[in-house]
Amino acid sequence: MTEQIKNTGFEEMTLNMGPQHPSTHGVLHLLLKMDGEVITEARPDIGYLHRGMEKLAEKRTWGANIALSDRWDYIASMSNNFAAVLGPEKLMNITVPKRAEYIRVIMAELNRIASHLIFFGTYGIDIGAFTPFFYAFREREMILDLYESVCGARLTYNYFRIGGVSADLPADFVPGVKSFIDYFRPKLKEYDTLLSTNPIFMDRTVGVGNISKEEAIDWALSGPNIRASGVNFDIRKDDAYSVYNEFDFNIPTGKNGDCFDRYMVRMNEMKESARIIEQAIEKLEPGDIIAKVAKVVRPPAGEIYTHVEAPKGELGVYCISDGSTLPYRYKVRGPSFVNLAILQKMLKGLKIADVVAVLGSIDIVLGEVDR
Amino acid sequence: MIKIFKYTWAILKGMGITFKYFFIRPVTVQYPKEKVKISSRWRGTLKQLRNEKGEEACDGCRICEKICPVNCISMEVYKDEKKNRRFTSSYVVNFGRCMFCGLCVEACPKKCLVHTPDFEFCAYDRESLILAKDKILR
Ligand code: SF4
Ligand code: SF4
Repeated sequence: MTEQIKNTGFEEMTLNMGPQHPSTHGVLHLLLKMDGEVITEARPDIGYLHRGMEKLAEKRTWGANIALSDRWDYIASMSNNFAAVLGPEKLMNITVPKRAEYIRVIMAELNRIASHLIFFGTYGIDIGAFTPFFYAFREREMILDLYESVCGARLTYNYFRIGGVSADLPADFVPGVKSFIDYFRPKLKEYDTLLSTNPIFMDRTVGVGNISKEEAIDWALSGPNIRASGVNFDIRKDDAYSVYNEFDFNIPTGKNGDCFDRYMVRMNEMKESARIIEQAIEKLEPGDIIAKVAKVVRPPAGEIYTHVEAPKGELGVYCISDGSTLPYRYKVRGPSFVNLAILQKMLKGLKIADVVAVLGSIDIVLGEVDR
Repeated sequence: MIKIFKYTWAILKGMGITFKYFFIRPVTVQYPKEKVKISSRWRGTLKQLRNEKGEEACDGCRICEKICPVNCISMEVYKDEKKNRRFTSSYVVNFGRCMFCGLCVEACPKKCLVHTPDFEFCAYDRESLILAKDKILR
């Protein structure tokens, strides 16, 4: 028997992971070819959640597309709304009122915290710590309650409108956000005790799934994944949209680009988001929340690419208008989809036990991968 | 050996945090028995309002029908010559399709279409998700 193994090696085995696997964060199907415990080939098989969003968008008015955009990355809908409104606004040269801009920024940053909290919780589960999940969801619940008081929905907000936002903030929103941030800051320290400084967690993540600087650029990663590899790329700074150039915030970066760095970048980003929210609240002044725009817009013919820094990376929308009420083409660049591609490279040579750690650390959401 | 102590200490520290929460009021809501407070802006199922005279306020302008991204509102309209205004003879919302986006409510010029705070709407089959005017006009 040993003789035989020496001559021919182990027989290669194919393992189907997912689409119904608790650690694939949705319906990802991974085809793993393995030599013993070592992965020789990994192929993500996507499309289980495909709804044809881009085709659907061509048959919906520009305004209705904002409601559809909620369904791309359904745990960070505000960022999707942001990406969906910027294009038509630029085509039509609409100046958004200042108050609306600040409200948008507050919403988008709260959403970043909420999205990273989900990452924190589920990543803990992936590694084997169940407690952080409950704490993360407890904090996220407060953000969702704030959203509910503003726009009446907890997941698919449909809050942004072309030219502004749909409703003004209720009276108790600003005190609510302030008390949330005061509550949230000490909690981050608690999270550090639970995971960030936990030696069990660090043993599983430090040095696992390294992405070098060059690789990260070659595979067109974005968001926390590219920053963890040491590339200082953030659309909020590099191609500032909305009013992001008015705020003072840092961009956390990592060094080694391993799972732990990707985790740490997200944890630090939450702190920076909290800082942005505080500054935006200071700048809030009474005023209009929506510019004067027709109910059904007809952007002039032309094409445009706008992108925002969504919690998962660069979320871009490329739209072509032919001057009618419907977009002619509506292409979405989902960050999760692009980030997922590097998985086939990263997993090669890793042990099967690390698959979940690596997959969790690139933080995908399947609604955005498949669209 | 050192590793074992390190791991145990980490676990104990984590447990310490969990232990702290023994003495704090739980945040969990025992849902069917207790209910959470719903915001007044909650986007639940739809309902139509009557005007101050007690007749239906909707005049069948079809704006909500047109703006709905998933085409789940349908209606038939007739003109009442005596009262010199339009009425809907049928107004059906298919809640199996509705995604509670609120665009129809926002667009209604008569402000007679509103959301209810109802978030528990459910049914055993798809037919019962289609509500006609007798359920919507309240
Ligand atoms: S809430 Fe949205 S989906 Fe539902 S009927 Fe109104 S417009 Fe249509
Ligand atoms: S928009 Fe309002 S008034 Fe017009 S048909 Fe719909 S419910 Fe009636």
